[in-house]
Amino acid sequence: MDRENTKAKALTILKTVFVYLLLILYMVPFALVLINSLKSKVNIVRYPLELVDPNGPQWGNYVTAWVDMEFPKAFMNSFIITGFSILLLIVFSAMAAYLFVRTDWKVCKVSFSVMVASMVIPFQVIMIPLVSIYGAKFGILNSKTTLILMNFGFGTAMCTFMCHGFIKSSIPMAIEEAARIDGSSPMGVFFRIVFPLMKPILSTIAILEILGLWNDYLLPSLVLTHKELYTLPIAIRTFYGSFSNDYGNIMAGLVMSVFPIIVIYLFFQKHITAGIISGAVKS
Amino acid sequence: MWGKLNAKQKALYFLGFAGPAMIFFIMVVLVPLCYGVYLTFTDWNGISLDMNFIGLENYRQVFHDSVFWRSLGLTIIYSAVAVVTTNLVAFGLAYLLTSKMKGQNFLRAGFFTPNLIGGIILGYIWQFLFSRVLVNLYDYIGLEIFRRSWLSSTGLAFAALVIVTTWQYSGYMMLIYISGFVGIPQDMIEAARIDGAKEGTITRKIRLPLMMPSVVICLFLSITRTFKVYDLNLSLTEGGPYGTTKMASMHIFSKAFEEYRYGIGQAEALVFFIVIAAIALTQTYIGKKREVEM
Amino acid sequence: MKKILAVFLVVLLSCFTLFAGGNKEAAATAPEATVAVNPEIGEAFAKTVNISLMNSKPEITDALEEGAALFGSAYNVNIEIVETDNPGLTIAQRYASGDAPTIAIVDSAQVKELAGQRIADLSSEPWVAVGGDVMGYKVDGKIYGMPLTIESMCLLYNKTVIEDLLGREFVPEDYVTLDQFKTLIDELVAAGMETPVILCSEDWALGHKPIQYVYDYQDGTKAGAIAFLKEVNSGATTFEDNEVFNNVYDTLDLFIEYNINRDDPLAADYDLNASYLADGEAAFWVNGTWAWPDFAPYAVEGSEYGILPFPINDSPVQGKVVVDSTKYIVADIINASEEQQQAAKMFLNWLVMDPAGQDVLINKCQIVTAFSNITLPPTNPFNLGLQEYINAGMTIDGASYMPSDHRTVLAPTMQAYAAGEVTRAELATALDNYWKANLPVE
Repeated sequence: MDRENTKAKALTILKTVFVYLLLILYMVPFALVLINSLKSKVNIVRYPLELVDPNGPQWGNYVTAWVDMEFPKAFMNSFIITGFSILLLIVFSAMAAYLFVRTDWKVCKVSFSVMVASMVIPFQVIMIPLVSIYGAKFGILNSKTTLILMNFGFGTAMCTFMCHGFIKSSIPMAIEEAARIDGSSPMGVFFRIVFPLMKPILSTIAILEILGLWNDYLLPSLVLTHKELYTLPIAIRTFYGSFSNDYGNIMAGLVMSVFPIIVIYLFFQKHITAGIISGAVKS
Repeated sequence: MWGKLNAKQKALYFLGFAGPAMIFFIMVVLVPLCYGVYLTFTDWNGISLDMNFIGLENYRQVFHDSVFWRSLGLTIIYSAVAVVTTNLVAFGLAYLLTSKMKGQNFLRAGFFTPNLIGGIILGYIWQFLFSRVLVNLYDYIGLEIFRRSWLSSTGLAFAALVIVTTWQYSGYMMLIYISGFVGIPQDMIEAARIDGAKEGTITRKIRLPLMMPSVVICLFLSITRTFKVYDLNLSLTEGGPYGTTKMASMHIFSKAFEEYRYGIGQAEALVFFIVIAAIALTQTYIGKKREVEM
Repeated sequence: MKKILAVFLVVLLSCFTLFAGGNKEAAATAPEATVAVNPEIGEAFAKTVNISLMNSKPEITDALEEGAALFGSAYNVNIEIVETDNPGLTIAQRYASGDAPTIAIVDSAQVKELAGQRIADLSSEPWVAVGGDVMGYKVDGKIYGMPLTIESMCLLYNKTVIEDLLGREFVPEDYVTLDQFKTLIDELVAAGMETPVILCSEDWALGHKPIQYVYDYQDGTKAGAIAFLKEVNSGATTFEDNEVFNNVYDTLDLFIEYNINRDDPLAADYDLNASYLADGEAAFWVNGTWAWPDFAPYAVEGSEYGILPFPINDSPVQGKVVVDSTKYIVADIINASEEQQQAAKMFLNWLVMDPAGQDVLINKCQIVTAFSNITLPPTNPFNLGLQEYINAGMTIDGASYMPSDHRTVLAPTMQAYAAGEVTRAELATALDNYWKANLPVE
């Protein structure tokens, strides 16, 4: 018994060491960003392996990035767009998915299949038609609201898809049936019982979508062409040149853009694991 | 609850629950898609005011564009390799990080960080790593594999794309696998343990079948994402060395916006879409079927 | 769930306030200098006119913004400058969305596609008479693109290091043939510089430009190059039989042999290349005058730099540099109002005709201009060198007649040639095949 215990312990330690080593490997590019955000471009190019710029840490990169990107404005734009898009995505995708799982209506089946199929559409098929329709015909580009609604339209297929899988496998019908006897309407059942139970998947979706939207470049660059509407990824483009880029400033801008996301991630991370539904009812 | 509804009630419920999502989905995805399909039958070059209906001419051109078919073939190979590596790594990580390891939450966050850096910049960082840092490292440790940049040899540039893809997406897929793992009822596993089942058997007979929904989702997501790779392709290898790693999306982009053959580019994008759809949906169909059987 | 969302919003907001706190002094200061209204350009607008400018030459964005502010404050025009590194894509998107920039700085390919429908015929503008008609982009005899800058693809050299190694003065005019250049290389190698030449790895630099030398050096004129390509098209001749092709490739072979990146030619890094030339680790960089803004951060104080024509044997035009207008300014007529169009034209006029505008163009944007009325000297060594060749009449026409897929189709083959994966005969065949299927665009 003792020997087996030691063996198990050794295995655990081995596993832990392995995972931490892998993590270090995973972090290398990220460390490169941090290190290079404090080096001048010339020294990034000349001394790629130096940890510190020979002229000392270049905090000026952060100042330049802050000023040239108009960071506060771009941050606020990114924040508003991401925040509202996420709200719409989570609430309405969860509702749609719930209906699609719990009914066997033809219209639901068709809708869901079309949504899933649409997830494989390459964006370039839609790109020009999209701006032709909403720009040239309706003239509603260059507005945060338009972008938020477009983010919602583009993202909802995947969110619905993920919620669909979760509801089907992890939300027991039994609970709902109990509520139905109480005389709740479907909408009431959904919001009072099902929606709260979806916390793990919704947290997962939220963090994945926040990241995706926060870093998104192509769609925002199509919709927002005026400077005062720029989001962080568009603003960072200031440092891209025709033949070579301003890496020090790009990295500094990147670190600043990513920081709030890390905070949010750490927060959501707890919910992803905390909100486990006990499988008791299901089994 | 949904049993005895008439058509009008059904319509109301549909609009109430799925309405907002469906309306915006149709408006920004389906309507432009249809317009995009229409454009493939015209000779529009993407920028001029002339637009004439030319029937299937663009599709004939697509058929003759051997570079496109080669890039499509390459994309399929790349996607196949990257999907396997990504999901193996992600599944392994999720398994390890749900086994009550010390610093589990920290580790999960750590493996997820690659997702914090988006698109183009990520490619530049890795390009810097492959062609500068590793080559510099050769001077110190003399490892032959690092003597020349990986990005200047065909096979290694392809490997570099796969490595970066795995690095980028494994944390993402890991999260989905983790939510699958934590959804597995612990009492079932406990019961199996008490019955004397080995860990391997438990994984095979209990964990894997219950993980099938996560596997289907992850495969689907990784297939569609790797297929559509563009940013990484552009910033890491730029299609090089000498055009040997140019994937379908990149080819389509340059066809439409650098060569001003928008109609052909759009038609190629559509062919490309049909290929991805066929592969991804077949995968999902098979996966779902197995889910039911298990 | 509501709680999560609430907390999420609070976290984001507090992050923001945290960030915004330190931003007091970061507010942009308005330019102090002002300029007077020049009646030759036009009157100031009574009501502020808002126009937009799409710039595809990112290195001059700051200078353009300065210029736009100066012009704007005098004439009551507000110019918003947006930047892109992919003019083809951006201009297509902007026209598709009905939100075209009033002024756009684009490449010749876009002028060609836009001319006649989308952009203004600028043939009657005042700057046409002072050089615009020579270098402007014409379609059907009308000028649609105003030439922004003249650039040359050539060899950039580090004079200081060459003279240090040779122990004598370096006279570029002595090395215009390949044979002469080869002796120079041998001397440099003997003096200890093993690989005096720097080649880029990018598809435009290593793949596209070298092929253009073949066209440019046919007889130094556009007409001559087009005549040759038409002969290839009809099957009357082939690249392999063309003397110029072989001469150009003899020179390129020498470059490839003495390339500082020869161990791994396709991994060359643009910035590292700049630093090689700046520091004198190599003597020649096969590139062009546009490299200055990226080169400048590495330039060593006290070192002298200059430009040299592509060395070539048995050519009547040897010793001349290839010159071309590489960026054009166009003005929209589809989405812009009458007033906006007028403001756009005034801005272009101001850049060329007004002393303050000329200062922006030459001293701030640091370009070589196509306009003869501007007498300000260029600012950097590469451009000064180019100006001397232009003044001496030692220039030949750059290639601007390639179909739009020329680079994507042929550049990879040339890159493979540089890496030793493709033979000269194979490359010649690839060129033959391309030009048999395509005609030069006139």
